[in-house]
Amino acid sequence: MAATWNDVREWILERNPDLTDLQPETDIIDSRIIDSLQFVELVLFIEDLRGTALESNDVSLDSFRTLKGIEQTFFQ
Amino acid sequence: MNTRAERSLVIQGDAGKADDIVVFLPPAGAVASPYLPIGALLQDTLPAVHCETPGRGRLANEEAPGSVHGAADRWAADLAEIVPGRRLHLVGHSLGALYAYEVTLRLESRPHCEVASLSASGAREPGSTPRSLLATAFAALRTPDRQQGAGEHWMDRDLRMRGEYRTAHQVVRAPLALLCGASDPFATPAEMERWKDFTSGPYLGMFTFRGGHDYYLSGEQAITDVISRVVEHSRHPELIPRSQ
Repeated sequence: MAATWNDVREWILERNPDLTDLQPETDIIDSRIIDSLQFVELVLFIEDLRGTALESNDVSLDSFRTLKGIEQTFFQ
Repeated sequence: MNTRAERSLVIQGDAGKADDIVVFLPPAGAVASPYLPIGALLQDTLPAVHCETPGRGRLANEEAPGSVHGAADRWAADLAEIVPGRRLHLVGHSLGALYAYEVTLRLESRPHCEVASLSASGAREPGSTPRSLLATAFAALRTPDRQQGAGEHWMDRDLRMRGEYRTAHQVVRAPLALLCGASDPFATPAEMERWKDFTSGPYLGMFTFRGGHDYYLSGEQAITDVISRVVEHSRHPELIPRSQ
């Protein structure tokens, strides 16, 4: 089954036990839901989910701000 | 547990009479040791020594190492002088695992120094090529409009040293234990198995913890228990269950 933003949502929720829900348009960086290290882990996780290498110019902070943006950039 | 500082080392507990001492090597970006809570949970007979990086924090007035090898040279010299003749158990996470390997190489070449175990955590083996995506992802965090957080300056310097690090693939003699976050994308348990090629000593097991790359910042008691087991197993490797 193809990966979706839901896989990313589950990954983030697993790392934030105090977080019960995460909306597709929540800015996970400005809201500090993920810290710097988790951002880097997230990039690696999304590459693994896609099964193809991410190019350097794919990796901008803005591409990873929301689940909706992640879906549009990496899973469509 | 009391702490005191000597040279590049912070000593936690009474190292004066201990046979075994746990030595922690810092991960990338560390200023003060992040392992102090783990060291505090070790039994009283098992003191901890935390290696700190010159050029930052308490050692801000000292020359910063320019390479992984330079840092390892300094710590190996300080350990040989401050805690000679002890059974040292080196533990390092991420970049700290590479430091631990390099310090082990240096101590094993010195008289009166014994590395009783090497515990590598959250890192691929020393000869592995750094993933370029890691540096790219960290670079993405350094946007001009984003305030740099505490420690990120040191993270950048340490990542540069990691990127430039090369090894001669020398094999150490120390018994090896591997520690890993179950969902750590930096180094998976399967990838970490390759560390076995870097020691001729007994394999003490793979210990997997819930969490990602920063698993060691929580669940300190479980990690402390594993370190205590590694110390015990290093004395009696013949008793280790074959499944580990």
